[in-house]
Amino acid sequence: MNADHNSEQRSRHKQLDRALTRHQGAPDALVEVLHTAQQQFGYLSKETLSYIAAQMQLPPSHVYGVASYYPFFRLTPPPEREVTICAGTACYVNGSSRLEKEIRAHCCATKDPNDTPAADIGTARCLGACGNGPIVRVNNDVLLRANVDDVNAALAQQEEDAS
Amino acid sequence: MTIEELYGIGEEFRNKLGTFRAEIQVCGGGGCLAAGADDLLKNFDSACRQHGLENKVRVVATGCMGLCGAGPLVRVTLNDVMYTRVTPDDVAGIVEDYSRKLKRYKERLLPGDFAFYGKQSPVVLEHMGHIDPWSIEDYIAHSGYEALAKSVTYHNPESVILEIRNSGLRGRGGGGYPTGLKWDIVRRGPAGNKYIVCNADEGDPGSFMDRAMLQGNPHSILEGMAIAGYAVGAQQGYIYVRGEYTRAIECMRHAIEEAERMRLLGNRIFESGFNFHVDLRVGAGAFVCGEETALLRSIEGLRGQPRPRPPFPSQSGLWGKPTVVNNVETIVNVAPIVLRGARWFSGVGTKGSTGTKVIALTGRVNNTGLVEVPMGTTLRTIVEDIGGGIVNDGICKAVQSGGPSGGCIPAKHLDVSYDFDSLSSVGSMMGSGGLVVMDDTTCMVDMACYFMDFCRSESCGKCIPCRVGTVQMHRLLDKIRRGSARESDIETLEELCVMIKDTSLCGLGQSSPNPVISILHYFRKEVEQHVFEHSCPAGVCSFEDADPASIAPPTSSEDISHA
Repeated sequence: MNADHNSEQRSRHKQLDRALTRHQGAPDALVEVLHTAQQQFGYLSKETLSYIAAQMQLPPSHVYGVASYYPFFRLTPPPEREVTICAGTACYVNGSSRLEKEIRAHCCATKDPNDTPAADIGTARCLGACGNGPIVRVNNDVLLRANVDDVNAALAQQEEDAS
Repeated sequence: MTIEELYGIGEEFRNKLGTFRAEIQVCGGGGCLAAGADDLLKNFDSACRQHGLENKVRVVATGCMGLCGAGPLVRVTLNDVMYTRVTPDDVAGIVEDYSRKLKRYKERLLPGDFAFYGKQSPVVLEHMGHIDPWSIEDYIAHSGYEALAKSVTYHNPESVILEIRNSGLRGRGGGGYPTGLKWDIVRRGPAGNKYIVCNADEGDPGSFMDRAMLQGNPHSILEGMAIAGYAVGAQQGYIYVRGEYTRAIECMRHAIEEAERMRLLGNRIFESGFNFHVDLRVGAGAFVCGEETALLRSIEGLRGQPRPRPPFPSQSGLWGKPTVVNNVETIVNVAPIVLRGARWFSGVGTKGSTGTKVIALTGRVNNTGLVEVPMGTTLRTIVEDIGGGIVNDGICKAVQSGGPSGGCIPAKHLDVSYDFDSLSSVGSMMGSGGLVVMDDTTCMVDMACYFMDFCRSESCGKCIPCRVGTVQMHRLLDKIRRGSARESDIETLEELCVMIKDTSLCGLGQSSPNPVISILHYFRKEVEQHVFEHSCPAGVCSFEDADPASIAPPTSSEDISHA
């Protein structure tokens, strides 16, 4: 198990190194390199950022400055379960803010392992399926014209699939 | 690759398509994918196999077919019929119907005269939803890369620019700047490296046309960029795609590889001296990067913050070199103009706004999705005919065009035509083409607050009017919504609108007060009702901070149910 984990980490590092070599440390490739790093590790840890800074010969402050500027880059590990409510205009007009309140009140409210699984609840600017609002993304499942029951069902289903 | 070889590839693929009796096309647009189009594709595949049709019917995933609200969509080319909201249970019926020529399966069949499609005239979206975006041959078979071939073989760069100038094409990303003029400036700029940048950082909530084009017809973007490169003398292009669009990025990457493999990108394109390479750059979630100077900085690997203009990117852009920054839709318009001529293009639309416009029609209308209409079509046609009217037979209250930079147009102005100048004359703008329809369940104060919340959180923080002003405006609007505002707050709001508009650094800040200005202008009574009577006609606002003694019971606030 541990050996597996280590070899997995090594292969991720290899991917990152490959991206660094591909851009030959050109400073304008920083955003691209950060994308690769996040793809491999799920987020950008301090160690990852320092490593990139050293390899690209950029000040760590510059690398951190760029990474923290863009909302897409995560500086902390991603949550295990995530419910994202679209807050784009089209979804908003179709009641996404009310839905958000309901989801916060009725979904994943409990951390009791016997109950509905807990999840991080957040909003996104636009999930790009504007014709079918309100849209909710539960991990990788996209729910159209969603309501609270749909979200709970999707969470339960995913829990079942995982176990 | 020569022009003859190109025609040969197209011919060959058309012949191959000719061996099929029909195609079953499954929409692969964002909405339909989310509604289960991927599974449907597999179901159709196996159903056709079951009936022994695998050599007679081509099952293919296409780009967006437009009617996103009724997905997943399926088209059968034999009788040119479309089915909406198709479920796996319908697959057997549709295939059976086809294989025995029964024409009996009427479930989910879209009426042939459906106004949503009848009133459109697609140019940019012409092949999207009909061709396989993952196949370069399919694009070539639909006269793809022909415009590029003709440009580099028969025309000199100046005449390509002249054609674009004469067509009257204006930037589709919001600015409306004449494209030909922009190209001309870059062409005349100092010799040396020049760049073509395709702005696909679609950030306006409520817009999804760029995404649809990226994953529905990626080669049309590459071809347009290459023609632009030839015209202005650039050898390198960048496509800056929004990071959230994973599938679009994959599709675009694949398209670039295919085009390079066929030597339609790279060195000596069509055996000429013209070289052009395209790289993909992935954005990272900053809305302000849709602003061209911020976008260029982001490509340079820096924090995507805007800088003052002039100098404009056409004079000093990427790494200080002359750079064309064009929106996706603008670029896709290029090839049809080269093929069919400037006169044809300028014959469509109005005098000041030629051609067509792709609109993302969303909100409280029956038919939502991507539509393309000639410029000058009235809002009424778009909302009532194409959109099929308001849901639940409701009444249209306003339409919001142009995203967070645009304005709300009240229903009394629905006869305004959809073009650059008419929309500005009623205090809105075209923006990238988002059109959100609102009915009487939408509160305009709440809407203004929503847009200001957006601008506030997307402000990059570089200039003070935008960074601080948007926060202050949001606070005031929230006060109105919560019932603790006074008359003077409306005045302050108005002052702030002017201040932010006049003094912000970039387009994001300058245009951020637009929704509020239009709402204060057209819906002042509604705003005042909130302030003085603590009543919200739409029943959205809760007035939780209002003094209970003075609060008037909100009219019909009991949970407006949304369908």
